[in-house]
Amino acid sequence: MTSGQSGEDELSAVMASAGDPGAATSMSGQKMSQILRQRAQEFLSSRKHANNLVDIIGMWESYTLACILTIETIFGEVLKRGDMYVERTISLTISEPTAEMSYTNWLRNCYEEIWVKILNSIEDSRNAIQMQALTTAIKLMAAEGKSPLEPVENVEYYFPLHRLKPIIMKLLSPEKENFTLIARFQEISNYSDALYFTWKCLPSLTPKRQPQNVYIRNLLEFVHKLPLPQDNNSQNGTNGSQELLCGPQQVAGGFKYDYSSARKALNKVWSCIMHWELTPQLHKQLLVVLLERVMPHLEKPVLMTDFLMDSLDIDGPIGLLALQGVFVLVTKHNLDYPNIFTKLYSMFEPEILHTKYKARLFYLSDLFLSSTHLPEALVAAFAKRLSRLTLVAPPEDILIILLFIGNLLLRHPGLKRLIDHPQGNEEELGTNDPFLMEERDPLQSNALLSSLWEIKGLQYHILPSIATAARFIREPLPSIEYDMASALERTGGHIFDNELKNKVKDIMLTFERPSSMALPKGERILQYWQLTTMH
Amino acid sequence: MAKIKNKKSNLADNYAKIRKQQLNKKTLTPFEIHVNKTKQNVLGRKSKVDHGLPGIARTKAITKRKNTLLLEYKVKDKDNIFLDRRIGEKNSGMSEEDKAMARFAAERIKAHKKKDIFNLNDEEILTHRGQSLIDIEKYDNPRSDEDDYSDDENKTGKLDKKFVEDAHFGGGVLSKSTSQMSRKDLIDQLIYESKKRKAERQKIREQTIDLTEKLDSEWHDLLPLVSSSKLKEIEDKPKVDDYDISLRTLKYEARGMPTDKLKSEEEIVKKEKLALEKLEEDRLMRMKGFSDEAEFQRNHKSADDLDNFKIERIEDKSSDNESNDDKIKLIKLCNAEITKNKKNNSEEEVNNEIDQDNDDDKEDEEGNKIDEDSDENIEEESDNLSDLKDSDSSDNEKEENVEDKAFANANNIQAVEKALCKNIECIKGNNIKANDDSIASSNNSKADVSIGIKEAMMEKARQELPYTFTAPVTYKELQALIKDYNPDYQSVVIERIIKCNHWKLSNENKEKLSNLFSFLLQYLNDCTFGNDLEELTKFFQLFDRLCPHLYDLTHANPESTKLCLHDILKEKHSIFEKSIKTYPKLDTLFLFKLVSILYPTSDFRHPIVTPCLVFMSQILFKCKVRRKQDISKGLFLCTLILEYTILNKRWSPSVINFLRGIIFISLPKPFSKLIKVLPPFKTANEFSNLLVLEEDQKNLKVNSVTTRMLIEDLCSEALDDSYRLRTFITTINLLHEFKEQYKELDSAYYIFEPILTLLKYGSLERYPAEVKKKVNDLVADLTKLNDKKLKYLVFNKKKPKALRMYEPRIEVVYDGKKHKPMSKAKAEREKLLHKLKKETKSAIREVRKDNAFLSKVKIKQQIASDIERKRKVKEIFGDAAKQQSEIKKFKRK
Repeated sequence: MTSGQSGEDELSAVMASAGDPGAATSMSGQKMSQILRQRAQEFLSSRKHANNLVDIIGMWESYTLACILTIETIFGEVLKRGDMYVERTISLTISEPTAEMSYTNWLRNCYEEIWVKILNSIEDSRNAIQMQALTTAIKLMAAEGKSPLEPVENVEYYFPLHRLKPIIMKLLSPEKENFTLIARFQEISNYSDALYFTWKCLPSLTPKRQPQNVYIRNLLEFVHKLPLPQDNNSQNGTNGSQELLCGPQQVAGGFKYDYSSARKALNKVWSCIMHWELTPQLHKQLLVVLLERVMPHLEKPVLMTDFLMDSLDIDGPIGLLALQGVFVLVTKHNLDYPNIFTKLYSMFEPEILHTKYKARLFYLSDLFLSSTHLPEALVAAFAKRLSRLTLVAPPEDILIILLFIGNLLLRHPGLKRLIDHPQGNEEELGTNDPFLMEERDPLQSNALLSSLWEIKGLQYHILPSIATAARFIREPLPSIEYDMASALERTGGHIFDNELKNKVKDIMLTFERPSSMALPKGERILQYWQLTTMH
Repeated sequence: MAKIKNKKSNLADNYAKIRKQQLNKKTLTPFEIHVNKTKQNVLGRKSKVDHGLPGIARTKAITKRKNTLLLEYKVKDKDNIFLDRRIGEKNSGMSEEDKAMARFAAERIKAHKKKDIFNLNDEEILTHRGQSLIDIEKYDNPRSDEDDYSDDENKTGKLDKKFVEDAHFGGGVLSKSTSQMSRKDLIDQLIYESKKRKAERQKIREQTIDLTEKLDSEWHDLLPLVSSSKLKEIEDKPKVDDYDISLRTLKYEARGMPTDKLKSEEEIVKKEKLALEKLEEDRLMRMKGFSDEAEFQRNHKSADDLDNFKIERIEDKSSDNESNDDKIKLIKLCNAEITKNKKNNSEEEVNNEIDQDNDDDKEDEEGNKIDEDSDENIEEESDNLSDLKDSDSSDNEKEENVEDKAFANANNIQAVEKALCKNIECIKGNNIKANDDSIASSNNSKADVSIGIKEAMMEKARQELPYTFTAPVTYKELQALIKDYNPDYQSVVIERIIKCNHWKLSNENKEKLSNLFSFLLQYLNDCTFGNDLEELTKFFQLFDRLCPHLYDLTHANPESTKLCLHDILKEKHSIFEKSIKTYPKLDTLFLFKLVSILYPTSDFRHPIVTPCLVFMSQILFKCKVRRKQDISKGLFLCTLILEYTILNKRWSPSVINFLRGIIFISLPKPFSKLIKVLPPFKTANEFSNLLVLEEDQKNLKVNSVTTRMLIEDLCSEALDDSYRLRTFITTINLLHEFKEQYKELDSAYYIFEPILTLLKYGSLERYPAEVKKKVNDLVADLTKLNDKKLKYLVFNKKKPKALRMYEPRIEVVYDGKKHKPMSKAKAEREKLLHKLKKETKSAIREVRKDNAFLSKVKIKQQIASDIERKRKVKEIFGDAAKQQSEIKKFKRK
């Protein structure tokens, strides 16, 4: 009891200072949270301490984080107990508001008040508070879903939509990029009910008019993060394993995930999105989301064709992403697009190697060119163009390109003449490479008349790993294709690490002792740099 | 051995013998040939003897027996035997000289025998007439007894030959019928004569001794006169001439062991050259990487290869280096001492001058010294060849000069001299060459002079600093030790630390030194963080001085230094990865330079060099070029990559890409044509015209050869036209070099194509004429690359694979002989028994033949002695009959 007494003293001290923000902030946050926790306990233990809630809410501004946590425990418990539950039937009879009633009303008012505060805190500048506010909001929403404030009627499954919607609205803020919060929100997508209702909410939150760019970005990120499972429809029978945010509820028969309506919602959202004007940055993001998330769920993907075609004409990563979309359309939805190889061919510009989509490009083009029925001249043009790219490519890309060219040569035995053309030397070959780099049409580029001299040059590349890899053209090719997948993710750092890892037994040293910074043989630095006064 | 000698020396004899044999062969008649008839001719069987020469075979056997058995028989029952083993004594074909040579050679060979190797005092004692030459050389007793006796009498006092001949073997009365004296008289006379002669000789000897002593005493009186005149002679020309130098060098030259040949200058040079060539060859091997042939060769290792295994060889080399270095260091130490002494001397001289004004000689000497000093300087300048050997030799020259001086002053430098003479022999060979070099370089530019200054600074530092330092255990200690000195001093301190803790002295030192290496790197690393020009200049100076020491340390402990560098590289790389778009600081860049000094950059793959290359190309590809520093650092890396690849001519896209970017940002772009440039450069942003000249520099005079980037380019931020020009010229120069390197590649033109278009379309209007000319040259050269004749690629020719062969299956063939089935061991035993039987039989036959031979000899002897006896008996009988008849005759009278 003594401890409680002392706690009381402290609290009163805090209370006294609560009005004075300067003194309040001087208290350490940890101590404060301890005190708040204690107060919350008191509040929950008996109604005598009902005013504690007011105090706690009063300190919201100075100790937001601690308050949010306390509020979460308080109202989590309150909702569980059903202290705020109001039978609507009672309201019909006119009677004096009992003390019980007024307390419940007061509680509900407080509850609404803190909801506003929590939602505002989601927009807080501090990251931790944002995060905590979101978590608390979701938790309270879940608690409310489990034990509604009012009796549920005519609904199969109760979900506090009026809570979910403002949360999502805060997430899709038009002022700030909430990627971390969205990532946090993604966690509840494991609960199929939350997921379903999120999708249901979304169309109503998507404006038809052009919104802010930040909003678009948030929305795209949101859509990107949110899964849309298809298979739940069929597995409805085995409902037990399904995790529900607000369940299990005895009231209704149970939650039923409806793929088609969720899909409809997505389509609605997407049709809105397609009307918006996009900056290149957003365009790229949109394409990524489209390709990775939305495409399989669209009702009529072919409608995307125009959009993709427009995107195709834009150079760089956008074109590349669009190309992937077109590829999906061509392979899955019977779209006929004859120029696709020319398009792909034009993608192979030196700049593409410095974008982060190059792995995708190589992966895609490997897919495109996987058919063995393509004309040899076309594939040869690709091989030759790629080998030209190695002249300016960073080492990690050269390794990919080499594997790619190797695979192309493997798939098309006729291309062997690019690396082994013994008859060719009798014919007269000019001093120039017959290959035309500037030619847009791969079939007209004369690649078959050429040879992969660039690869031969790579055998003298400064890095031994590349020089070794480029030696594959000296001997007949193997019978199995090279594995490109592992190479695609490699970066320069990997090559560096690999070289460091190379175990060498004896280390070679130079054998001529320098008398200064200059090398005894082949000094170049001092030839071009005046680094010491002596030289 | 004598026989061998005979064969060797008498080719003519041999030839005669062969001819004789041939003649013999020719005279064979059918009667001398015995033919073994074969009853059946079996195919495939070799007939061993189808004919024989019984006569010849018999003579052979007989001569053989004569040479062996007969000799043995003759010495039978004899107790001792006298063998003349003197080499060549029995060989009439050898001249006296040949014999002497052969004997000397045999003696030498004896010295090389195994048990003599460890014999320390086995110096051959040369003799003259049985007395060792060393004893003779002492001349301690001029009154040797040798000339006491005349030739025909020996010193032992024995009787002379003539007397012995007459008196002992005189043949008695019959032959010496003429002598009248009796034997006793004769001997008396002899004794008398010999005594008389002895007395005479004694007298003469005493006289000469007296005379000699007298002469000696008189000579002592005369000595001052002679010596004063001599001294004067020396003082008259104190200038040391070449003769004196060579004489002294010869004097102090270590006496080579008689066993190993003294190496001539050419041989030493040749040996060094061979060693270097070997190393170079190795390097080339590594540069090529694993070409197929090399791989093939390497896979196969025979036991012989193990003997001269690569590692061992390199270790040998390094130890060579070590010893060499030791020598150099010793020399340097001595130098320091000498210079000190020199100082003392000069002081003394000054004093002397004050004391004795008339002593001109001293003045001369002084002047002479100044001359020498200047000479020295010139010689020191020859150091700039930075060849290890040369520097080594010039160091030594210096000593020699100093040494000469020391000699002239007749001072206490002797001790130093002694230390020096150890070194002189190893360097002497190089003197002449180095001299030539020094003359050639003495009239060189100021760079040499500055090196002279540097050397002088170092010299000064050497004198002022203490000689011993303990190796620092922590980085703080090292910092405290060298922080306060300037770079030259720091270098000397490090040098002394290394010397005091030489890795050969103990194992702990090895660890200490590897620590020192990492501390030094840390120290250098810390020095790079200075931001202003002065600090950076200081850093580079320090780096310059420390390089040789770092090199030494690396050689002392390659493994640990490798690990150390590994860790540093890893750390730097992880720092770089964190902010991949910005250029790393100088602390990373200088490492690359250090690596190029310590490790062979031309290797195909090297545990240190290759990561560095990866790192550098990553920097060049990834880092954004935004500031002046970025450009300078990028160019620095390009130059470094050029340096790395200067020998192996490998190519790096990163460099070309970067240089392309530099050219892009230095030229105003035409509007008509869109010229693209690759990241890290952007086609259009605020940095894409960073290096475009602001003002017209058309009339500026620049020398594109001597234009160099400066240290301040690495630290300052202010962009001005001179920097822009500098960068552009350096870029063009670098491109020239890279073009030369890559022109062998088939794809060379396409590598440079983007740069070519840039140069063609970019406007050079504002650049000076010389730069324009240079660019035009480059454009022409690059265009020429397109004329290269291309050949279609072809697979490597493969060696035709051999068909797979099977082991031949051998069947047992019927050969008509019965073979008992038996175990291997038993078969072997049977075989041996059979052989034994055969051998016994043949031995018995031989013994029988020997017996026959011996009995024949015996019977011959018997017959001969019988005949002799009979003859004698007859003679005696005859004599007796004669006597009888004479007696009868006498009686009858």
